[in-house]
Amino acid sequence: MWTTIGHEWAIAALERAIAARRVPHALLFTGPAHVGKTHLAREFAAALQCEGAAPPCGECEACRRVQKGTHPDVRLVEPEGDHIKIGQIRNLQYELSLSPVQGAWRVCLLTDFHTATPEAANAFLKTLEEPPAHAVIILTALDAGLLLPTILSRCQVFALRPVPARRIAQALMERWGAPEERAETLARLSAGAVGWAIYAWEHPEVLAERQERLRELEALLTASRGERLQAAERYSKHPALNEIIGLWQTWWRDVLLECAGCEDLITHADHHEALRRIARLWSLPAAEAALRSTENALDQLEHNANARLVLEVMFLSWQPLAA
Amino acid sequence: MPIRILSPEVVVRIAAGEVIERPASVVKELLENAIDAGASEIAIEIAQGGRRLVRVSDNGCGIPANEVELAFARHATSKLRSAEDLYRIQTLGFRGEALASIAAVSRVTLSTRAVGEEAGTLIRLEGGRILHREGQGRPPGTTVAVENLFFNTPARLKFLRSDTTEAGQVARLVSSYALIYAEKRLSLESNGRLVLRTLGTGSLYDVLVTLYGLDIAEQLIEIPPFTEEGITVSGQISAPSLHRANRRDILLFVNRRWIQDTSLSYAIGEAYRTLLPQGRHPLVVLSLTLPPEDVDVNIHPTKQEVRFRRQREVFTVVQRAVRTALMRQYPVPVAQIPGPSAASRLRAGQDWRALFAQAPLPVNPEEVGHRVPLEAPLRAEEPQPSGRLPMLRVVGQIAQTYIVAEGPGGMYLIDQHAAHERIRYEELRAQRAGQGVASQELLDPVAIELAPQQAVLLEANLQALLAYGFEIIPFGGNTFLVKRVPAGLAPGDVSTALGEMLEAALEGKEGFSWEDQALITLSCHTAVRAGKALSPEEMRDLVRQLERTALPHTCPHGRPTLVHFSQAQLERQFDRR
Amino acid sequence: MKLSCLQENLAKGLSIVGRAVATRSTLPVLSNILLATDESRLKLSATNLEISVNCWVGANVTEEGAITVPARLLTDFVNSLPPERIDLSLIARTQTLNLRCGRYEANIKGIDAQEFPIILVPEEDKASQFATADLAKMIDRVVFAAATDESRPVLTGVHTELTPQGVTFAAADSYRLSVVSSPIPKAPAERISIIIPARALQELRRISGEAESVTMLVSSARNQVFFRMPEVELISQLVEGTFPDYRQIIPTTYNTRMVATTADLLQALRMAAIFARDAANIVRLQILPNEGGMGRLIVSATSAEHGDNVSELDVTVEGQPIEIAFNVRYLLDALEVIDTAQVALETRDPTSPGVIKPVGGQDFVHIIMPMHIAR
Repeated sequence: MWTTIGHEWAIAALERAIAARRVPHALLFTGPAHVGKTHLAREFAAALQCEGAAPPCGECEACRRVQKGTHPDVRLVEPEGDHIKIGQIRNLQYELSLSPVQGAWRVCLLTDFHTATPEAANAFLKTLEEPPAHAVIILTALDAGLLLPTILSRCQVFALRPVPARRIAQALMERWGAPEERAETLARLSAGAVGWAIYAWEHPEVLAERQERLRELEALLTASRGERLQAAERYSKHPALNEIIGLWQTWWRDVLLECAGCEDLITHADHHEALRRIARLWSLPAAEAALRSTENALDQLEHNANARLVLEVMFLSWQPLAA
Repeated sequence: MPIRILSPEVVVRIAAGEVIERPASVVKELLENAIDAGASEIAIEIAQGGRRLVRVSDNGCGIPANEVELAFARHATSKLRSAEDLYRIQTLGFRGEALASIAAVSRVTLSTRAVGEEAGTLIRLEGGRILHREGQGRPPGTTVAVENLFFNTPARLKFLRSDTTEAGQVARLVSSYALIYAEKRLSLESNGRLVLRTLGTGSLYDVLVTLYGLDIAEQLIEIPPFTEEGITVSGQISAPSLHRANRRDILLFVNRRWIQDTSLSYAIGEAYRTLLPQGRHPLVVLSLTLPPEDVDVNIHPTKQEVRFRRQREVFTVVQRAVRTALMRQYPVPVAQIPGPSAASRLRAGQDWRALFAQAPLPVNPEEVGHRVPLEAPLRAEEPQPSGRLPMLRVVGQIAQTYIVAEGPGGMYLIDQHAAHERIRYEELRAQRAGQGVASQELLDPVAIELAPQQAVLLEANLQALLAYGFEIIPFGGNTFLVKRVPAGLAPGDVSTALGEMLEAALEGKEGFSWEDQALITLSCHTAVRAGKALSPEEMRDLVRQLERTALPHTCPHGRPTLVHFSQAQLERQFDRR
Repeated sequence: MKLSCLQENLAKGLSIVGRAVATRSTLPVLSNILLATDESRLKLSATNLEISVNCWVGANVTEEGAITVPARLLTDFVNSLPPERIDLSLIARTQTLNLRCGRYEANIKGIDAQEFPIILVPEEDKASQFATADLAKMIDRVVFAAATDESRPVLTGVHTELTPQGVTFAAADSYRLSVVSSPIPKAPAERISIIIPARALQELRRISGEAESVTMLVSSARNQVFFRMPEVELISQLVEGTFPDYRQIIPTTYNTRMVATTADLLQALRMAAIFARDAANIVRLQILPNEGGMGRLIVSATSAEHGDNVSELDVTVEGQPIEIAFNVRYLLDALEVIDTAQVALETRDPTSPGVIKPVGGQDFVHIIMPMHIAR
């Protein structure tokens, strides 16, 4: 039984390939973070090694080992630090040339292959060109455009899309027993990233922190100039600054939607009251300007601008709200 | 197109604009006047980057009262009738001309007293016209104050950069003169703050300490006067551990005149070949003395560019002087450990850095490659470093990349790959110069496929590569068969090594040669890699071989091969003192 | 699990399986040794997913069971115990192995035996048999020529071909090739051709010392090769890929053939090696025929920095005079595994391979590509 949430079309294609005994030697799963690339890849590896009747059965020794990461013929290669490095590729190449220990395939799963250094990617080309007969290579990457065209052309590409919110909410309720309201909220917030929704369900502090950040944002709107500058200083040292700004960005998007009268599309449905209140006081251009300010801030941070200055500019650009 | 006849006044302004481009040009002309007047002490003040005020005071011989107006007379003004004349004025540049040019575009106040005269004179001009003149009591010497520069040429004013940039230019200029006139006491104040002050001891090293700080001066190597072909070269150059992002700190003086000469700077850079990381440049203060008839200074109105009559000889002598000094001695890069005491001591009272920090000035501490902590006693307590390495005792290996060794001066960390690259580079160069590069026939030729551009280039250079041990035969299309490779090159690295060489050749950087590139590539690919565990025997062997190389401190790409932690540094780190 | 065995036996068993323990693996269980009861014996297993070794130690088993424990810790502890009886028992709840020997006791935390990879045992039908002494000699003659650079994985293996006539091992890196053949006591009925990692053969050589003969089984899926000895088993994964067709590289004709006394030649080369060290290991061989099939061999090496060395040997020469250069390390590697009194070197010209053969010995051919000095 496949446990991957969504991506039914990809699962169907993979099942057909196994049934027809025409397993591609190289596969690439692309898609946004937490959309389920690695999970699907690992499940496919399990399906290849599975000893049960309906692979992946999830019950047999092989499936169990693949899920636990202890199957001798399934090798996971993750970026070491920020990159997949040439040394990792060299080791892997030798391993791949050896026959499998238990199963019929030696499977290697390389996650986030877009982080591979040029040397590593080039070295790996050789293996992709002439993979050993028993080898199955699975790559994951955020976007196919981030890989060398020569790598891309040798892989069967599965471009995974964000999973529909309804599908995620349903899975959270059925498999994790999440209450409906919570499941819906998480599904909406996840923007299709299944992994994030599950993580947030299992770690309630994620939602709590979001509440806190949004509360702070609201507070900032009624804050004085001096308080905003203080906030800029405080936030500039926050390790997850980009994520926070990203969250605020989704908030401003909601304000914009609210101003435009598109209530049904908003993400932070649980904050509908606050959104509505701000939208009443703000004009559409003002909301758009605020949204742009977050975009600019993220862009400037990307280019190593001084975080505090960036935040000061952003905070001061937000129209003050009468308390 | 015939040049429209301009009123003399306008022409003067244009001409002045050619000589006086910016506040720094004013400073330069006034400074040269002061030096010519035999001053031993020259004080320069600027305000708002020199835009509002440039004041140069000296204790020189002064101008006799009856010649003061003459100083501002433009000898050629009356002849200014044709374009040719205009041109000639620019190219002459004799004394007085500059002052006239400055006076044409600003408000000038000159106060002077000639040695041997009772009283001095004060004269005030605006736009070249004398407004006021009076007698004045003052010590011998001259003070020229230039205010509101370009007040009557708004277009010129527009070209000026920010105040800090202009101030930076002035500081750079004054620094240069301070270096070459080490016997004079020069000071520069900007907006009332002291930027630099030299002691006038006559020692270049003292000036360098003042300008760059002890941490940098310590890493400089002296070139004692070196004479060949009637050309004398002397100065201070940076050790390979010290380098900059641009060539701005290559300061050249010909017959005590600051010049800018890109090709000579390049020649100096060449002398550092393989010692500096790619794209980095040395810090150099070099003074050339040669017979005046061998230099032509009059090719640019600002006299910043010169033409050498015997250019090739000049380059050769300079390169040889630099190379000799480098080979003879330079210190191992010293590890920089952040410490509480490091920054404070010697910098105290040298607030010139404060200005430098905000303007693009010759000394920008961020640009410096490796730095030593500013500890004055460092020099005394450590044996004078020399080009050769001391005897090192191998202690062990860390991260399968660095060899830890102990020497008389403390601890050394050696990058095994970089060190072996240096060894291989010198071996290969010796082989190349001697019997030839050893090559190994392959059991089974390796087929390589290249990009079309690379293939064309390779095909044209098969013969050249043979000399480095590659026997390659075309195999149709962009495919080649490698039959023979330089000894020690792993078969798996053949195509990478060739690719690197071809890429470098295609980039066609200045000064590319197959010779250099082949030796660098081969030394890199035949050297032991980082990440390889070495036995104690292998490590000892490697260190012993490194000791024997001529330039043990850098790899052929210019990275350091070893870093030194002095006993004193270690003791400080452990708070033993 | 509850059993007892003798310290000497356990220590020996651990040293046999010890080299197969993975040193740097992503699977923690691979740095452990599996201890499992097997009827009246204790079975020790280790694997690095390339080579697996099983070894049986006589034991007095009172309760069946299995556990994996860290190899280093267990080995170091057992090695430091006195040569007496050791009692081992597994505390199942905590997956801890308790060891008791005289007045010494230790508890070692383990990982569930279920985590350990299962190495399947093949059927016996394609068995071949080797005399251990012959096998060791053959391994010595080929493994050194296998590539250590992993850029072409097939070259890190030893090509092994079994036919009803016997076995042929071949190994090559990019510069040399070693081929050795021999009849064997029991050969398979049909031809089998596989590539065995050189490391596996080296390990086999090390642990096969006491056995008289070794049985080799190739699993029908050609996935693995098994070497079975009394109380010891070595299983190796095979290298997949196509080994170069080495037979066409071996020259069949020569223009010069020289025969020298192996010991003399070795000595001359060892001396030359000292001087060649700083000069890419180049040694020059000048082969000069005299009348009546006799001749001289001049071995020389030059170090630009340190000087040179020349040795002269009396040899027999057939054919043309020649001067040819080789990597002296490669010559020494080959000569050191030749046990006949005389050795032959054949070549066509200075750019053709040098062929080294023992005179009147086993079927062994070694090929070395020459070196040059580029001008």
